[in-house]
Parts: sequence; C-alpha cells; structure tokens
Amino acid sequence: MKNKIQQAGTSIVHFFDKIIPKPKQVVLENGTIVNPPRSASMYITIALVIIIVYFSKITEFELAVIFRNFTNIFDFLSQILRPDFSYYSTVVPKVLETIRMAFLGTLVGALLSLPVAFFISANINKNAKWMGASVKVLLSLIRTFPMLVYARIILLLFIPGSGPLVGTISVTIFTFSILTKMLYEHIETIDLSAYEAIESTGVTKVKAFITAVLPDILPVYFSLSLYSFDINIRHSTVLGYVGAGGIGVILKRTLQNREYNRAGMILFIVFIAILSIEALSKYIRRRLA
Amino acid sequence: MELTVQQQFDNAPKVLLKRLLILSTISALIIWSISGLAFTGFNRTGFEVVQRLLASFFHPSTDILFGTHSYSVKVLGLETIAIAFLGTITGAVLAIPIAFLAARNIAPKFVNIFFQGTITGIRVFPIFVVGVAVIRITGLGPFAGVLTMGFTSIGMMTKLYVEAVEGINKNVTDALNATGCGATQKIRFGIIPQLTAKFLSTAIYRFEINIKNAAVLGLVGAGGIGGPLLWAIGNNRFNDASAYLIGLAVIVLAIEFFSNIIRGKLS
Repeated sequence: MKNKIQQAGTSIVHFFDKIIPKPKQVVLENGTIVNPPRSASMYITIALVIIIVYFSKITEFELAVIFRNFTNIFDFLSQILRPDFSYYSTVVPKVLETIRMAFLGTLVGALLSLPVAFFISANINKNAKWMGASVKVLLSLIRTFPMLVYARIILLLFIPGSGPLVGTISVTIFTFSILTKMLYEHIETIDLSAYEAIESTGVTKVKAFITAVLPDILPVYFSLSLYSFDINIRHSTVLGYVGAGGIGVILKRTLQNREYNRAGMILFIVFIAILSIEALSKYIRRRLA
Repeated sequence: MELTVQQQFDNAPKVLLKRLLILSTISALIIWSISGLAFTGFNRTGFEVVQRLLASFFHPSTDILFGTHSYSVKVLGLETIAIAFLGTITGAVLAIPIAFLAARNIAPKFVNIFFQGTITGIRVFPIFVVGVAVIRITGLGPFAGVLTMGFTSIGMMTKLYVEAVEGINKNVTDALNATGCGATQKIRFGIIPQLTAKFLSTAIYRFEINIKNAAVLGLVGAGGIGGPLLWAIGNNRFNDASAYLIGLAVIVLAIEFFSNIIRGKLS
C-alpha cells in the first residue's frame, strides 16, 4: 500500500517534470552540477487551483451573475443608507437589551472561567493531568457549535417570553468556552516559581494561586474579558434571529417586512453602540496594560 | 532618610476610593442588566425535548451521517467547507488593497482614516443582513453564502493585515534600494516575503471562523449545513439534528487541528 502511494507520488512528479520546465541546473566553479529542487509552491498552487475550481462548481460560483444583477442591490442600499430616524424609540431599548445580555453573559462566563482555567492548567495541576485534558477536550467540543445553536436549544427549555434570558445563557456558554481556553493557555506560559515557593510553606493550592498567580494574570484576565465582551456585543445581534432577545428580533422583522429604512436605523444605532463600547474597552485595556 | 514600614504603608497610593467607585459602577451595571431579564418560567415539555435531543446523540440518523443524498452530512459538509473556503479567499483578496490603503505607513492620513472607518463599518453589518442583501443579487443558494462570507471576512482580515503592513521592516527595502533594485523588485523581494506568512496565517484563522459562521448563513437560506440543522431542531427531528451536529463538530475539529499545524509552521 505504502509502496503504491510512493509510486503514485513519483509518477506525479515525473508528470510535472514533463509539462513544466525544471529549474535551471547550476554549474559551480569547481565543476559540480547542482540540481536545485523545485519549490513546493508550484505543487501547492496547482492543488489550490484544482480545489478552487471544484469548490466553485459545488457552490455554483458565477461572476457573471454578479455583473448581471448588481443593480438589484442599489434599491436595498439606498434604503438602508437613509435610516428612518423616527424609529429610534423602538430601537434604543432593544439595543440596551442586547448590551445587557452581552454584559451579563460575559460577566458570568468570565467569573466561571477563572477557577476552571486554574484547575485545568497543566503546569498547576500536575497530578490530575488526564482530568484537565478531558475538560479541555470537552471545552473544544463546546466551542465547535455556534452560539446560535445553543440559543435555539435553550429556547426550548423556557416558556416563550424569556428571550433575553436565553440570550444571556448562550452568551455565558460561549464566553466561558473561549475565555477558559485563552486563560489556561496564558497560565501555562507564566513562571510559577513564586507559586511553588508559597505552596511549599504549606498553604493550600487555591490560596497560593490567589497570592502568587492572580495578581500576575489579573490584567490579562480583564483585558481578555473585555475582548470577549466586544465579540459578544457583535455576535448577540444575531441571537434575536432565532428568538433569543436583543436587537436581532426587530432586525429580523424589519428585514422580513422589507422595511429597509428601519433596518438602516437599527444598524446605525448598533454601529454607534459598537463604536463607543469598542473605544471604551480599548481605553480600559490600555490602562490595564 | 530611613523608611519604616509604617511610612511605606502611609506613602502607598490610596486605591480604596477608586476601587469602591469601580465596584459600585459594576454592581450598578449588574443590577441594571438583571432587571431587564424577564423570566417567564420553565417549559416542562421543553426539558423532555432537550433530554430527547441529548439522548439522540447516541443514535444519530445514520442515513444522514453516512449517506450520500443531497441532505447528508457528506454533501452539506462539503458545501459548507466550499463556501467557507471560497469566501475566505474572496475576503483575503479583497482585503489586500484595503489593508494597504488603511495602513498608516503607506497611505496619506486622510486616506487611511477613511478606510479605517470603512473597515469598522463593514464589521458592524451582521452576517445575516449582508446575506439578505447578497441574496438579491445571486438568489438563494451556496453562491450567496460565498459572497456573504467574502464580504464579512474583509473587516477582521483587513484589521490583521494592517498590523502586518504597519510592521514592515523598512531597512530591508532600504538595503534593496542601495543595491539598485527597481520598484517591482523591491516589492517582490523586499515587501512580499515579509507579509506572506502573516497574511496566510490570518486567512487560515479566518477560514476556521468562517466554518463556524456557516451555521448562521443557513438562517437566510445561503446554503451550508446550518439551514437543515436549525430546521431539524425546530421540527423535532432530533436524530437528524444530532447527525448534523456530529458532522459539524468533526469538520470544525479537523480544520482546527490542521490550521494549528500550518499556522505553527508559518510563525
């Protein structure tokens, strides 16, 4: 089997040698002839082209369609760029709801992630590595599914009307899964000699962690939390689409009713909210660093 | 002057007031956020439903998981990968000129402020709004997904590209200048080698994200595994849903694995 694959590989190389000129032979001053190896980028390019053509066929990729129907978007764009400002009384409370969901979800997720990250860091818990490893696998499994899927499933648990709560829980799960990963990856890189010194005096691991490691990682912890808050604000606009509260609920409605002026107003306010929150979090993160 | 412990203690900055202020602000924010949550009660049948969903992970629909019909994981998963792949390439190509125009060391100030604003504007558009807009051009189907992915990828990719472009080491181009290289040679041997690794690793990272975003695209009918998955959850077809979820998990984990290897080699 292995031989066959090797044979196939060499025959492919021979095939390329025939159709594509080989790199020039170099004759050194002392007469030795050097055959420079062909760079791998050629094979990679050919593979990429084949993949792109194949995938274009699957996705019915057709540039002509874009040019033919491009004018269709102007009507949509012109409406969305002329926001209906009278709609703000409906939009503002929903934007605040989105911010609330993202804030609370991020907070709870961040609070949960610190102890878990502490327990699964390979350099702190040396005795129960298999446990840490299995929690890590579980976390990466949680991370594979988008927030939307969680929202859709959790929504089944509640009587209709608890949208924001469902949204908050989904944001919590998402924040917990990514923040724990970023945190334990950070903890695993830091120098633990202070922690070990304190631990050798006979205090518990948790106490040693609080005195020796926590002050070290706290700025990073805060700045990672703020970073995930940024992400969550942007992601939670989508949650309403499945009914989990926030701005997505009215965004979906306006898009379905083709009230693009109103959708434009929603996007405008979301734009302002995201910009100001990003600026604020950037400012705080710079102060922390 | 000799410092005693007491003096040191007195000289320490007074942080108590500041901490109290921060603490009270955060508590106020928490109370404000909790007050907005309406809890209407648990849905009793909902628990059974979720239990059934969890149980269905142990017997997913084998027809969907291993079959080759148009609603199987194989076909839809390949479509999802194709959408994410082509979308990432589209975004990666479109992001290059914008990144150069938005970089502070290349373009004049008013130009890069304009393009920085454009990037932020692009990042604000939620993926499904872009999807709704794109569908007007292409109609329903995976092609809409590709264009949506391409457009939404631009924001983050440009941001990371700009960092790479602003980090270009000018000494290299100066050295090439000294040897008498022309402009194209300077770009080919001085600038491109400095950027390829970072650009590639950004693109691969974005590809990972786009695979996960594919589930969102299903909402607006832009192809991929997300549409059938959410439909299956909504219509109590849990054996189908768990088959899709398992398929999605395998795809995401496999791509994450390879992307980590490739990005590790690039850096």
